[in-house]
Amino acid sequence: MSVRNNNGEIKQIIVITDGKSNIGVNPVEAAAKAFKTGIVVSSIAIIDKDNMGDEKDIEEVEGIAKAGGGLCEYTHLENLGATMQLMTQKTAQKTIEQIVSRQLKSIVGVDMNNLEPQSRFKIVDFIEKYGDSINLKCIIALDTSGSMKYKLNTAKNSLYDLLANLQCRKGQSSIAVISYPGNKNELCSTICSFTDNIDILKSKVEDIKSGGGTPTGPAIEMACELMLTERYELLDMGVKELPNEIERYYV
Amino acid sequence: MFSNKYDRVAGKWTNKNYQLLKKLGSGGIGEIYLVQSLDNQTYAMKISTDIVSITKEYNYLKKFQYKGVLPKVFELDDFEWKGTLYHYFTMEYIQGYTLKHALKKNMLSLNAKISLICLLTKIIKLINDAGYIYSDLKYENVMIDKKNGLVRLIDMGSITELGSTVKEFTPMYDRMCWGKGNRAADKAYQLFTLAMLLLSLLLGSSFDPHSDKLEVLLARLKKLKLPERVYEAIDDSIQGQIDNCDVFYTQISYQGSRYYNHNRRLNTALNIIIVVLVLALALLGTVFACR
Repeated sequence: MSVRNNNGEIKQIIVITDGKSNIGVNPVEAAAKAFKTGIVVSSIAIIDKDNMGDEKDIEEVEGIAKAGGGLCEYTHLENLGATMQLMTQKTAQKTIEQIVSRQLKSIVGVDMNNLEPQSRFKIVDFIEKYGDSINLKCIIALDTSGSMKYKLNTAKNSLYDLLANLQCRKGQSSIAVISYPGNKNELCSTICSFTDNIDILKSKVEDIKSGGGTPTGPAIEMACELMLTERYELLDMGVKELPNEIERYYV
Repeated sequence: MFSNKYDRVAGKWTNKNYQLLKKLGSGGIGEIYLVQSLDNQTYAMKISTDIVSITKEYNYLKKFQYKGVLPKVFELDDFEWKGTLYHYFTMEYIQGYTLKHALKKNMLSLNAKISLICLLTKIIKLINDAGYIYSDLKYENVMIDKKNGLVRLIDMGSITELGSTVKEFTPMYDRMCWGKGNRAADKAYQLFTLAMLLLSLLLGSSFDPHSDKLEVLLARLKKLKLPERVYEAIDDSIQGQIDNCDVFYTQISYQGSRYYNHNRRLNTALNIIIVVLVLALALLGTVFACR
């Protein structure tokens, strides 16, 4: 598990929404904060025939991705699963590109753009291979406000699709799901913490219901917290459930 | 990206000069232009800001060009334009049309359709044998080279190593969108794309995984009364039971193209001869009997 895996990993939050936030902190600021701690925040706006998104909505969705160092996509509900998959993998690739380019600069003194074209092949090859084998941790922050009522079922299915596809990668991939608004009048709740098991994901995501406002900012903050504290949660879990494992690694 | 047709591009490393003539199209990572070099040769030029994708594509084009099924590529280089660094490569300008165009104009006979897929299967097999799949197989990426009479695959952006994950695809050809498996880059995924292309060619329409059902499409295919083997090849590939281009090829080409129609024509001719002979014999018989 990730506690003892030191290969490095890509941390990403994907915000899925169909409208503008209206409760809590500004999501663009929350995304900028997350990016500072090394988490990439991307955003997906669900559009349909009646709702192509008005300008203010678009501005916010794009703002989140820009401040979070991630990507922004508009998609029809049916393509949500595919869009999430491509986004996750593209982000991994882009992040690695940036790391490799920085490394190159510090070793050879030039970045990839200033390298002679024929010498780029090996580096590109490396980036591609590494992009598929690095570990991924992805939190999906899912808009469950009233307007999502008829879209929720498809959105849930696309979460299963995403995990199924990430399982085809060579590296380990796990996803967590946060809904906003959350259960029992909370602004947002962690529906499912990191897992790579589709059955666990299904059993937890199944019960999500829609209704309420759109606290996008608080959801990003919660996702950030979950990403950074997950290490300790795993340790706690280990103490309760896997005492032998823990002994082996921490004695 | 560029508007003025007199825009010029000068390669940073090779110092080659080109004049942009017109835009030919745009793909996932960049745009393609028709360009002219100083010695009046025309080329197709792909321009993008994504250094990794364009280097990758150039690399794959080079790798598979020995068989003449992909456009020839020349140099990979950079140029700066309005303060932005662009990357480009030049390739052979293929005069012809894409399969999408051919289909819209209803230019292909049944034989031509099956022969075309046979050829494509051979090309795809080369890529598979080298350890890759071509995941974004679709009408727009298949080009018919009018001048040389060849079928060419264009756009190598979707080439993926076997055993990794498919990243570029079009829903109509993607088995996951149809609920027939995941997006692991394996040979069965490749065969699914080939089967969908053939299915769509034969039915003469494109499909949408969100509104169409595979069972309905296959039932429509069955009504076409094609040889059973062709139907089975498509059905089996869609169900993930074929993961080998050779098997697909033999099955669709067996009674497929020429052989099938040829045979039917021959049968008709034979039947007529037999009927004529029988009639002649009967006539002779009656004549003798009368005597």
